[in-house]
Amino acid sequence: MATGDRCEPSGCVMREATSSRGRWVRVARVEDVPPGAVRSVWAEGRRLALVNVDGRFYALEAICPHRGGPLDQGEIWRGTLECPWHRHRYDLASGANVYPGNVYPDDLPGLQAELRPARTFPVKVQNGIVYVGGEPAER
Amino acid sequence: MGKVAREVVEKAGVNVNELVAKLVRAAAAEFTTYYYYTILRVNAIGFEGEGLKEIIEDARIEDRNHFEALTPRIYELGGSLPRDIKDFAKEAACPDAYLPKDPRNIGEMLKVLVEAERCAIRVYTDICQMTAGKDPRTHDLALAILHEEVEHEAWFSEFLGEGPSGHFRRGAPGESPYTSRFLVVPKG
Repeated sequence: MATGDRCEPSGCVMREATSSRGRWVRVARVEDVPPGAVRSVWAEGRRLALVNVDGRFYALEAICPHRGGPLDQGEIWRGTLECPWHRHRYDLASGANVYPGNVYPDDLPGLQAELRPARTFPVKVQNGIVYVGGEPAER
Repeated sequence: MGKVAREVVEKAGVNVNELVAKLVRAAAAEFTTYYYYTILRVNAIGFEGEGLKEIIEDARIEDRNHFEALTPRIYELGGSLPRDIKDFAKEAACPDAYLPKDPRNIGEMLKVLVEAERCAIRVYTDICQMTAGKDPRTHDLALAILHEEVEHEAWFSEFLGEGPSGHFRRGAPGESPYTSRFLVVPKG
């Protein structure tokens, strides 16, 4: 780890010295995020939930778009990230609301606002280090 | 509020404010589910719906019992219910169990019911894990509710044909075999 980086049970903080739009930011070592784990990391001033599902990494903004719950304290449930506050679940790759999006009727006005997607970020792994793109993934 | 009741839980290493927040969200989910299950129940009609109606009714009444059982514990721990019911409803630990767009679509209704029960199972498992070995009173309560939520899931799941029946039906509607001892006015 570089000077200034820190990694605690709750998550890792590994900042690049400088950052700019679109830059890849080191956020964790692969071994700090074992399969099935969710860790809190920072990139470009954003707190993210870094997720490892069977060796594949995903990054979502840590603030739940529903009511601001801590997605970085959420759990993986059937391949989705579940918010611990109100149990909304998000697709790891697209950020789409999986639940209750799968059961909310589309004829009630106002409900769609409850189903906003989580912002996702591109992730790459190189030489045992996980990098997150500084800008959200395009939908 | 019992001062020592809260103090011993804090001393055991539990973040009591966080626990109270979880209990309030759980109570809100029970309260809102009671409301939404009422709407689902009255719409469960027809060949498939009439069979489902009794099960919804058991789950509906037991969810109300869960709300009743949770509330005293919230206040014992120094918490409170929001003064505004709208704030309370927004805080529910599980999404609302809306009546499907086509209320005659019993398959869609069952999907709503099963998802709601599965959410409840995760809520109470989380509270059990947080309090295990630290807060026996909350743990005992959450575990009792968890037992009933697991059975509710089984009822609806079996109705969907997802597995053989465990025969967890109730002798009387909504009798809450595990939670009734926590109710201020015991049933029966």
